[in-house]
Amino acid sequence: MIKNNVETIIEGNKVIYKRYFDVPTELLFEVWSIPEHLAEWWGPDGFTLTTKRMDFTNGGIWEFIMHGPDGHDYKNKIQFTDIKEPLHIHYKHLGDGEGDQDVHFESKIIFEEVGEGTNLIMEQIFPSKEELERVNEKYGAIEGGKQHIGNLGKYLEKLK
Amino acid sequence: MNAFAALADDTRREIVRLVAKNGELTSTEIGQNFKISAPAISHHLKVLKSAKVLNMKKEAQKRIYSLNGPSINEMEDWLLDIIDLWNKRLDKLDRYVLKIKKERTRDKK
Repeated sequence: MIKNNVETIIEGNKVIYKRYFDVPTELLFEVWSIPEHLAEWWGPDGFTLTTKRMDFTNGGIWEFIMHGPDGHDYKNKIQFTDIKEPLHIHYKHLGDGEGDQDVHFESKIIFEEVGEGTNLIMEQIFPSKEELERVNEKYGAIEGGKQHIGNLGKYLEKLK
Repeated sequence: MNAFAALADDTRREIVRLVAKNGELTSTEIGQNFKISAPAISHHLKVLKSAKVLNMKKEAQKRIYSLNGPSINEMEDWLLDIIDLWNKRLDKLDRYVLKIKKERTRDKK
């Protein structure tokens, strides 16, 4: 499932994203660790982000709200479990911080220096392997479909 | 507790696997596959039922469990959304860091 420089792999109870960024490791780490930067890219398109509090240390909490384009607010709470500048950031997702939607998964973000750029490897670890295996089948089908459409597009370009 | 939290437990995952394999099982049949006590099994079943991972119907004295299809589908869709979100987010991150890199190189000149 590689498109340009992106790879998404589903393996056991993990989803792994691999991607190359043409910027130094320090810069990539910086934009993951400062609320002002995070506000610029964390929200999906059309979303804005408000950080309520952020303590970027081991055990520290980042609490933020994503404001959707439909006026909906999504609360999020994250706990940093292991930070090593500029090598990695590990954190736990604590759901919305209200306790009634306790989605628990862990993420490990690893920054790997490659020449002038950085490989970003992100692992998301979910509690349920079975679910992910089923999702993998679905996802494979979806990605396959996308590629299929991509190939069709290329083919049509050729015919022009 | 949501479905993911309910499935974070090994015994409960094993129960779901059994039920999925057999289609329908009574609580007694489920219990026969485990070394733990009947009350413990009963507790796990209650958690799985309240998290909507399993359905339960009563026939006379029997409680019959089956997989809650729509709820399982919901979980799958949620996961697919997360994957999709992260891929989009990383696209955005890529554009953002390249922009900063450009700005900083310009400032140095």
